[in-house]
Amino acid sequence: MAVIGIDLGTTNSACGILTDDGVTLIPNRLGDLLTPSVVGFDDSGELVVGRTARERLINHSDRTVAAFKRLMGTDHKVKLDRQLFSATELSAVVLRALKEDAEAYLGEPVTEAVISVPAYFNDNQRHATKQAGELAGLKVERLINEPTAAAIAYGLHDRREGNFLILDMGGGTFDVSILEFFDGIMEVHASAGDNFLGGEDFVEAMIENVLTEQGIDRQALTARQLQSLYMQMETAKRRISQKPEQVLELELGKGKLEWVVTAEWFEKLSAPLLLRSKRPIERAMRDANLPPQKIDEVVLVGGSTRMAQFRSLVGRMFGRLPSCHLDPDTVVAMGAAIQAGLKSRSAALEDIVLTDVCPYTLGTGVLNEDSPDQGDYFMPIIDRNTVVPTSVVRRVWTAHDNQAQVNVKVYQGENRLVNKNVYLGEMQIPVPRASKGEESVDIRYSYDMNGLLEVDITVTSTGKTHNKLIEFAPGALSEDEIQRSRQKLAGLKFHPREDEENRALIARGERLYESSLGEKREHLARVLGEFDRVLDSQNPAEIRKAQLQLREVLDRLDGEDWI
Amino acid sequence: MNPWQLLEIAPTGETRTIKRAYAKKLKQTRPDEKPHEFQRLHAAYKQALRLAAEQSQTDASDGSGPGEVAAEMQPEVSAPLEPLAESTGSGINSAPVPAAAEPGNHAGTEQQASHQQPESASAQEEPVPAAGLSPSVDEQEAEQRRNARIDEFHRVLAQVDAVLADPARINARASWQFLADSPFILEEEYNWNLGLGVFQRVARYSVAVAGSQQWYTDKPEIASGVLRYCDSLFAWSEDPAGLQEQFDAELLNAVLPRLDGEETVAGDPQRGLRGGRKLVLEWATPEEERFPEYYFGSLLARAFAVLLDVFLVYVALGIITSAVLIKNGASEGEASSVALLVSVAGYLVLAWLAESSRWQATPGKFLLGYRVTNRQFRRMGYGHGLWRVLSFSLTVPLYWLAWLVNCFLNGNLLHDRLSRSYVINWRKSREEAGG
Repeated sequence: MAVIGIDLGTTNSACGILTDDGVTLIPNRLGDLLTPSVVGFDDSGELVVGRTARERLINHSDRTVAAFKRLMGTDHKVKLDRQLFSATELSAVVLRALKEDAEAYLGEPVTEAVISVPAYFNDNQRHATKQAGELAGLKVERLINEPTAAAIAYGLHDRREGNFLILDMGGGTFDVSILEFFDGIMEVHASAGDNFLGGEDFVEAMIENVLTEQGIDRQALTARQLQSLYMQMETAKRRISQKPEQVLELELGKGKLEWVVTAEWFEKLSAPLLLRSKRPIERAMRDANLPPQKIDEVVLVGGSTRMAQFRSLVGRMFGRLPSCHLDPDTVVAMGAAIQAGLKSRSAALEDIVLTDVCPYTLGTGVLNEDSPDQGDYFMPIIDRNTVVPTSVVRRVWTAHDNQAQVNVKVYQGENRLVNKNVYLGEMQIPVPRASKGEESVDIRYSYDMNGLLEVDITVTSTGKTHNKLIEFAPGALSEDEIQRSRQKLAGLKFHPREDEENRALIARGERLYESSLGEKREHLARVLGEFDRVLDSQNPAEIRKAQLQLREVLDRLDGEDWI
Repeated sequence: MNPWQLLEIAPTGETRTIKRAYAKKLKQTRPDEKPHEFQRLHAAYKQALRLAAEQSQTDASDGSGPGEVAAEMQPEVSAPLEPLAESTGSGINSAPVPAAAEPGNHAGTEQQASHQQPESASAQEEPVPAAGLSPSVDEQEAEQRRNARIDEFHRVLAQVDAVLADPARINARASWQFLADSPFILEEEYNWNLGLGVFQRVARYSVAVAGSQQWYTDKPEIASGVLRYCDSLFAWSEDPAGLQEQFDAELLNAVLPRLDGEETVAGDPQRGLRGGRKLVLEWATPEEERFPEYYFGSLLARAFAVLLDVFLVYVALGIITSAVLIKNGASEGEASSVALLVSVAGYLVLAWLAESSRWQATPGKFLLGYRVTNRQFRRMGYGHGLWRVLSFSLTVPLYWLAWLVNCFLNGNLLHDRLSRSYVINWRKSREEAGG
C-alpha cells in the first residue's frame, strides 16, 4: 500500500513517494511536478485544476479561484459559478487531482497520505487540512510542518549534523524553524511564523502601489484587468533579479499605461514585508536560545526565497550565504514523502526519529477580576515550543456561587488577554452547584504529533470526564456537513486525463488570444482553429504533432512567466 | 527521577555523550508510539544537558552560560547615532516632558566604538577591496556611508515632525508611508536608531495629547493603526527591554500597550485571494454570546410585545383578509372577527418561526431586546419552538387565571416552564456583563 507525501501549497502543490531508490516526485497529468493550486469550472461545468485552471484565471475569474489556502480554517466561502465552496472543499479538489495523478503514476490505489502544513498553522487550519484530505478520499496519516519536511529532505540529502535554520517563504505563508540534526535524530527546537506573509503579498504590494500612484480604484477595474495585472506583476517579480528594468504595458480602466518596473521600486515596496519577515526569525532564535553563530546552515525553502532581496536580508542577518541546493519548490513535497515512508516504515529509514514542537501557546480564559472590561485573562496550558506529543493538566475553580456550568474556552496566542488571542472553540461542562471556589475542573490539553489539539475536562468532585469535540471552531465541519461536502464533490467530475494536455494548451491559447491584438490575434485564431480541427479528427499521431506545434507557437508568443 | 538513569549513562559534562545516549534511547521510544515514555525521556535529556552546561560552566568558569547567550541574542541595543542627542526635542519642544529620557545621552564612547564595528566589517565585505587600496580610502568610504545615513535619519525625523504637526495628516496611513521608503531601513543599526527617534516623537506627542487638560484639543490622538504600522517597521513591541533602556515608563506606556492588536492575530483572509465570483462569510455555527448572568423578561413588557406582534400581523394579514372577505360579500363584523382569528393564528406561526430562528425573537420581543432560549440559554431548534407555541396555546384558554398565576412567576411563565424555555432580557444581560 502506497502512502504519498503531499505539499498542499498556496500557489503550487506537489506530491511524492518514497521508494527503495529514494524520493520520487510524481508528475501530474501534464507531466509537471508542480500543480498550481487553482480550481475552477470550465464552460461545460466540469472541474479544472492546476495549470489549465490557472490559465483560465484571467478570462474566467468568476469561475476560477486561486490562493484559497489563506481561507483555511475560517468560515469564508467562495462563490464559483453558482455554488459556494469552502477552502476545505477547494483543497479537497486539489488533493483529489494529486491523488489521481499518483494513482495513474504508481498503478495502484492511493488511500493514505502525509500532508504538509505551515508550521504556524493553528488548530482550526490543521483540522481543515485534515478534513480536506478526508474529503478527497485520503486517510491523512500525518500532518507535517513544512519547514520540518524540508529539513528532513535536506538532512537526508546531506547527512550533515548540526543546527539548521529553515526559512520557508511560500506563496502565502512564512515559517521559521530551528532544528538540530544528530545521530539520526531530528529535533525541532523552535518554530515561528507569519500566516499572512508570502509571495502573493509582494505582488499585492506592487499592485497596491501602481493603483495608488495612478489614482485608480481597485473596484473600477474589471475582473479580467485585475487578474492580468496580477499576472504581469507576478512575472515582473520573478524576473526582477535578472532584469532590473522591465517595461510593462498595463491595461487599467479605460486606457493603457506604460509602467516601468525597476529593481529600486520593487525594493522600496518590499522593505516593509521584509522587515516583517525578520520578526519570526528573531523570535525563533530567541526561543531556541541560540546565538546566530551557532547556526550551522541557513536553508531556504519555498519559491519566494528566490527573491534576491530576501536572500540579501538573510545574508545580512547571518553573515553568510544561505543554502538552497535542493529545488525550493519541491523540497517540502520530498520531505513529506520521506515522512510518509517513515510512517509506513521503509527499512531504509528505520534509524531516523523526528521530534517537533508546538509553535504557539495554547491555553484557556480565566476570570479577570482586576479589570473585567478588558475580558478574561489568558491562562497558558501548553507553552509554545514545547516538544510534542505533550499532555498538560491545569485546574480551574468556579468563580461564582451556585455556578452550574463551567464554560471552557480554548485559545491560542501569546497575549495575556484572551480577546487578543485566537479563539479555537469552547466546551460547556456542567458542575455540581456549590459556593464559589469549591468546585473545580481539570483541563487537560493533549497536543499530538500532527499538531492537533484534544481537550479533556474532568470535574474533580464527580470524576466525570468530558472530551467531546470542540464546538464552534471556525471552519470546522460537523459529521453531517462532511457527508454533504462529500456528496457535493462526488458530483463534480474532472475531465478525462488524456484530454488535459489539449485543454491546457487551449486555455493558454485563449488567454493569449484575449490579451493580444491585430495580426498576432489573427495568427492565434488560425492556429487554435487548426488545433481544434486536428482534435476532431481523433487521430492520436496527428494530435501529438499538433500539440508540439501549438506549444511552440505559444511559447514564442507568450511573454509571461507566472506559473 | 535521575536523568542519567533514564539515559543509561554515567553523569557527564559531555553534551556529545548525552546526545548519543538520547538518540539511542529515542529510537526505541518513538514519540508517536510511546508518547508518555517519550515525554519522560525528553525531559531527562533536557535536564542532563542543563546539568552538563552547569558543570562545564563551573569547570571553565568563563561564563558561557545561558545568560551570555541571552545577551548575545539581544538586538543591538546600544548607542544611537550621536546626532540624535542634539536633535531630541527639537521638533516637539512644546511637549511637557522633562528631558530625562533623551536617548543617546548615556551612550558611552566605548559602546559607540564597538557598535561601529559591524558596519565597517560589512563595508569591507561588500565591495571587493582593490589591492593596494590605502586604509584611509576605506575609512573615507565608511565615513561617507555613515554621513549618508545620518543625513537620511534627520530628513526622515523632520518629516515625522511635520506629520505630527499637521492634524489632518496624522492619522492617514498614507502620510506615514515615507518611513518605509527610507532607503536604509533594512539595515539593522539604522532601523533601530530611526525606530528610537520615531518612538520618542510619537510617544511624546501621545503623552502631550493625553495630558492636555482642555476638553477640546486640535491635536488628535494617534490611531492604533498608525502605531501598529510603525511597529511593523521598527519592531518596538518585540523588544520592550531595549526601549526601556532609552525611555522612561511614561513614554513607554503611552505607546506600547496600544501595539498589540488584532492585526497580529488574524490578517485579512481576503488578501491575496484570487478569482471567484465573490467571497461570502458564512457563519456555519455563529458564536453565541454568553453572559455570566441572565435576566428574565418582565411580564408586562412581554404582554406588550405580544400585542405589538399581533398588531403587526393584523396590519400585514388581517386587513387583507377582511378586505377579501368583504369583497366576497361577508358583513363587516364577520370579516373583522375572522381577520382577528387569522391574525392570532398568524401570530402563532410567526412566533414559532421567529423565536426558533437565529433572531430568537418575534419583532416585538426583538424591539425590547428580548430573546427566547432553551434552558442552556442557547437558540431553540424548530421542533422545540413548535412545542413552545403549543404550550402557549394550551395556557391561553386559562386566560385570567393564567395571567394571575404568571404574575407570581418572576418572568418564568407557565408556558415557558411547560416548554422548558426561557425568555430573557438579552439586552440587559449583555449590558450587565459589559459592566
